[in-house]
Amino acid sequence: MEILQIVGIGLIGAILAVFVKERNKEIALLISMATGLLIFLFAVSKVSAVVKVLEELASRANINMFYLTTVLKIIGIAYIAEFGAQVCKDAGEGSIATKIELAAKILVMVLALPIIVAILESVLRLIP
Amino acid sequence: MRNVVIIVLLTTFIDLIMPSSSMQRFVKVVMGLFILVTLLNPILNLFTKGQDFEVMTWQLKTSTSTANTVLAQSDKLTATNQSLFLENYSRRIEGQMKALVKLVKGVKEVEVQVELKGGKQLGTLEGIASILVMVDTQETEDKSSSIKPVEPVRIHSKERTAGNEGAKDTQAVLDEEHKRMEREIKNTLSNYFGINPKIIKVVFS
Repeated sequence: MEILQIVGIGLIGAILAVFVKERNKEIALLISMATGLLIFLFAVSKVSAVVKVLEELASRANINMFYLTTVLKIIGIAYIAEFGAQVCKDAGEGSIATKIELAAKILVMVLALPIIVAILESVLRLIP
Repeated sequence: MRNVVIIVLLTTFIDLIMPSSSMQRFVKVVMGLFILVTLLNPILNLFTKGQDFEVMTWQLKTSTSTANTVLAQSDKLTATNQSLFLENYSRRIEGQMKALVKLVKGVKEVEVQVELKGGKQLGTLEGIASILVMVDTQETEDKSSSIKPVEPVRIHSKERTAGNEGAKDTQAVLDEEHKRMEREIKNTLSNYFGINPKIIKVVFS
């Protein structure tokens, strides 16, 4: 029952942060960051099973693994960027959070470029 | 058709694990492109007669080299997998043949070596090239130790009744027996595995 552990860690972190916030805001922020990181690492360790299933499905459908790894990379970038942006927002640094999101969006587009080019190539080949 | 169903399943699965933030729109666009390219690929293959179009990776030279090395490694892995599979396959056939040959009357110990036709790749496998069956009509050492007292009695009786001519007769009988066993082994193996009996070679020891 990992969900109980995760919820327990989350609740303990939240209660600690609320108590500490009134006396020391910085420590409260650090507590919330550590809690978030702990939960994030807990969830990431389980992702490998999902990735394995996806890879098996892709190999069954004869999908080029290059595309699948690109999509998985994009999802990973989105998750990590979201986590970082949320932490920054919690710390009251909304502008840094926006910049993180911007960088993530650019990275996603860069990773998607080969797929876009592949589609363009195929469409251009279909047109005589 | 089957591939399309799997692609749809795959994308719904990926859709489930997508993050729920402002990034979602971007990820969804890329997902759409991914579905498009995977569905377009077979259609394009129809027009270009099996030619798979290359992914343009002109913007990042380092990523192309890593992709190439990964592809090369995957090819290498597939080759090793296939050769291991073929090895395992021939070993299994050998085991089955061993068990079958042991059923032939007079065979005490048997060793089978199967040689496969074609290359080391799975697609190039053409069947069985040759089968070498090494038959031992006598008990092995550890088995003979338990029935050792029987042997001198048999030899003794032969010497008494037959003598020198008898020895020749026993040789002829032995040859006849070997021929019968060879015939039986060839018949059994060719019937069970549907192979030409000419490729089976039986050796007695």
